[in-house]
Amino acid sequence: MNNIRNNKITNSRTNNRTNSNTHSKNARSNNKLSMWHRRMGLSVLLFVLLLSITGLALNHNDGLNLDKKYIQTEWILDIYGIDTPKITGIFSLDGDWVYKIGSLVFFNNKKIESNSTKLIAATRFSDMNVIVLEDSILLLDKNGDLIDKLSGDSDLPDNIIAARKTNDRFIIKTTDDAWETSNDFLEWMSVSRTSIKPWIKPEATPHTMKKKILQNYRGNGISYEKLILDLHSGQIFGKARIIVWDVISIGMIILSISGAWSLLGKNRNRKKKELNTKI
Amino acid sequence: MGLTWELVINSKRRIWNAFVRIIVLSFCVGISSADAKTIYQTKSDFVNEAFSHTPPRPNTIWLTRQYSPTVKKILGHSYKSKRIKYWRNSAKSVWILEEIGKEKPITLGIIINNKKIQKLRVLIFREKRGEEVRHPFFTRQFIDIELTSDYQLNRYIDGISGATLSVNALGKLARMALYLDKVINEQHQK
Repeated sequence: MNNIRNNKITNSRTNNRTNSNTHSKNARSNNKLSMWHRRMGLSVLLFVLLLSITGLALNHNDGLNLDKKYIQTEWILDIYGIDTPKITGIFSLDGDWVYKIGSLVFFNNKKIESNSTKLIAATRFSDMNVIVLEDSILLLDKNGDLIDKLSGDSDLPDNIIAARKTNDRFIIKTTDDAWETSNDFLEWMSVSRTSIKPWIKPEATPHTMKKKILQNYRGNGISYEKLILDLHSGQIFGKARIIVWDVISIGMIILSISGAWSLLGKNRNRKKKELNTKI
Repeated sequence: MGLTWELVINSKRRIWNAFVRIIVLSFCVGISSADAKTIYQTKSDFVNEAFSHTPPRPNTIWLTRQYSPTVKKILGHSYKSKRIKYWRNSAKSVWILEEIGKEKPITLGIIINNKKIQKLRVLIFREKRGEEVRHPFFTRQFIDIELTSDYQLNRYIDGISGATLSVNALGKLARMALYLDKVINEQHQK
């Protein structure tokens, strides 16, 4: 009887030792799994937060009016390829504005010239708006519609560097000479350059104008809705989006499975431990 | 062995250098041909030639509401500017007009004498294709051509395969010049 009892105890102890070895193995592998689970969790934490926050915002898009609010932050606009070129030359014409931004020349909000050379001067003359570029002169009516464009060859001397006006003459200075014309701009006559007169100069860009000009050039910019959608969908990552999102998705799958496995493993171990203790 | 290896490296370098040069050259040719603008005759030369080097003072005609609808009907759109420069004496009028072929404007010089086209010449061609329209075999078709009452040309113009848009542009400008010549003659008669 005692032998049977002893055998039982021995077996139980052997079993306990075997069980505790197995238990340690399981505990170790569970610990490893937990460690990887934690690492994976930390790795995808940022993206999970991003998805959650952007998802929440999009869920309440109507209430937040995200499509009606616009971002003007330059580095974000740069990501979208909306550049902010310099304003090089701005002239006030009795309430109207002529300016050059990038390679475009504008009369108020109207684009009047693309791929333009340097804007030299702009002024009102003979009921026309006269815009002088390095290689051409644009004559506009009061609405900014083109009356005529004088450029090169028989229309205009080359390489204009300055311009001015008198009551009935319009004068331009080129690299070689100075020329004047009457109010029809049909013919140019050489004049003396010796007398120094005030030439038309560009003005400093008023701050309010700068904002208007940039807005006109870029449009409204990017809406908050667009940005949040792009962050949520990963479009903002461009071509790398597919790879990045695939990696995140796989990470979250592993996270879910490892989390579930780890939890089940703990439950299993706990039950086994309870069972062993009873024995 | 060392010498052979050196030869191999040198020949590889030569091949590589030649390859790079070909690429760079192709690139340069590509860029230059991408923005081709050929000036066959300057505007001032055309005008001088038309008036035997004594051109009259230029004038302008404004495309007011009276004339712009007809111009729009001829071209299919408004002309790019509201004012057109011309030269005229008792015998003839000379026009330099522009119209877009496919993507870029073609600059055309037109001499009109007694309500007929005396000469038509492509002064500046900016397109990549369709340049055949500048040749005399095509432009001579316009000589002695007149405008009908519905602003069409009174003779058929043979087109050029592959240059339809350039052909159309020249046809439109010929009609427009004939129309404007008619207008300024009426103005001068008044």
